[in-house]
Amino acid sequence: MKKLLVFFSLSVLLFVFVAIGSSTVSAAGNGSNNTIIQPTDKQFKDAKDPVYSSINQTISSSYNGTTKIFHYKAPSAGYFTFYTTGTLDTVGAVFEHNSFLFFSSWYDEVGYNDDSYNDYYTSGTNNFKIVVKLDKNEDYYVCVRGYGSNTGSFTLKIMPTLDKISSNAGGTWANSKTVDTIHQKQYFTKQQVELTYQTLSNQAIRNIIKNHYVDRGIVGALNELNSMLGLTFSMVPMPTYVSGGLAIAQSIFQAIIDSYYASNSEIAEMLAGFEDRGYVRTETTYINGHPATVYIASYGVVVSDSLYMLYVATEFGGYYYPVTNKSFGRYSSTILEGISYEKGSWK
Amino acid sequence: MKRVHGNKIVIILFLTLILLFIQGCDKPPKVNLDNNEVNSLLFFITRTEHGGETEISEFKRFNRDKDTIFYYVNWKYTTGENTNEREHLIVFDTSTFKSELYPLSYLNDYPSIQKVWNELNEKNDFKNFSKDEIEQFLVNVKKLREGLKS
Repeated sequence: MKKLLVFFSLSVLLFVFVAIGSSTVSAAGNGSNNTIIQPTDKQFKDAKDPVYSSINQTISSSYNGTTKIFHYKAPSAGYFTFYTTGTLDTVGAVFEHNSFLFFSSWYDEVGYNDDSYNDYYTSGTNNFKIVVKLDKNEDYYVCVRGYGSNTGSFTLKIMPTLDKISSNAGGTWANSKTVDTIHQKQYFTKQQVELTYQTLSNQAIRNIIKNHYVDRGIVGALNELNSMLGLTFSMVPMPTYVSGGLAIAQSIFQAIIDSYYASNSEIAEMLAGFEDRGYVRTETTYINGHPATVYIASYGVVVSDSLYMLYVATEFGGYYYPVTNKSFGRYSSTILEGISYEKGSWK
Repeated sequence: MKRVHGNKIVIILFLTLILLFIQGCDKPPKVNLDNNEVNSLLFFITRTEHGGETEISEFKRFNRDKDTIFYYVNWKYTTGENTNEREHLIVFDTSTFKSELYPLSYLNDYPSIQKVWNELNEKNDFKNFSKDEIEQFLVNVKKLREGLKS
């Protein structure tokens, strides 16, 4: 009798799991009729292939009235950004596929957005942008539709969210507020971002740069950095472009080589602006009462360099020692591969 | 009458003391004569210390002009993988006390520095610091570093 009761209880539990858990969408349906994304279980299953899994994924597609669904497996864990480019006004959602004991599965909505991304490259507006933390090799489904009755082509882009990147050496890049209200559109190249974060997150790179600085000077350090990262930065042409360009470039390398007077976030910001060789003007000003030179690049990179003398007393007289204050900043928020990249700090 | 004079003397003495006090306040702090050498070597040590302990065998001063001093350094790492002898120039700006380091073997990467260095070499007018003097500079570098930390 007791065995029968246990069997009956288990059967009821099993029935409940199967009935409730058999492929339901747990939390879909943000927005109005114009923006709602609520795929059926069959639509998710039909979208199982192909599986997209590149770290930087670009998918060209179009919306003709039926929500498009793309199956994505992240090759590494971390924050990822999903967004579209193009002139179609898009709405997007990201679902995570979950299952229980092989016979129960469901899809949790982990991200939804309508208009967060404006595509300045193609003058497109009102694209969606979703930033969500993904687990490695888990199944995610990206759903894209047009707003209301809009149809047309779009390009879906999936990429790691570098704004939220962490370093193995410790620290996380965290967003902060826009520096000021000057409205400039600025763009990071992929190289700039890679250079920034590889340099910051890898002490070995810093030491290699230091070694090459000792062996060959600043030119040697620059060449080595170029060859390590496959970059083409050049110190030599800079003075022919602008008078302040060399000073800015040297500031970066000195900041890396002598990192005691520049914080990681300062180096990050400086590196990000390194490729900018546009017009640079200099201004003489005062910072904390000390005369300072401020270099301003056309895309908003600002290097402030103030120098003053510190008197250090020892038991046998004293010494004057130069104290350099370098600060780096940007005029306003910047754009990273089309994604808004705001001034942040390394914490 | 004598009392009036006495008052004047007291006032003059008082004013003299105030003047001496003000002059004492304005007196510039004593700066050691080796300020330039110590600053340039402090820079040198800071830029090279990531590679290990260093030993300087030659240190020479070439006066370029009143604003710039070229220091020649023959040195090597005593620890680490590469303990070969190295030759560097420290170009020191006397107005800002800022230095820059140039490897002598790759001076052709820096034409303006190379040009000046060739001129200085032709003149052959330099001060060669003795081992004891170098040692004293390095002791003072250490003191300055400690002072900067405190």
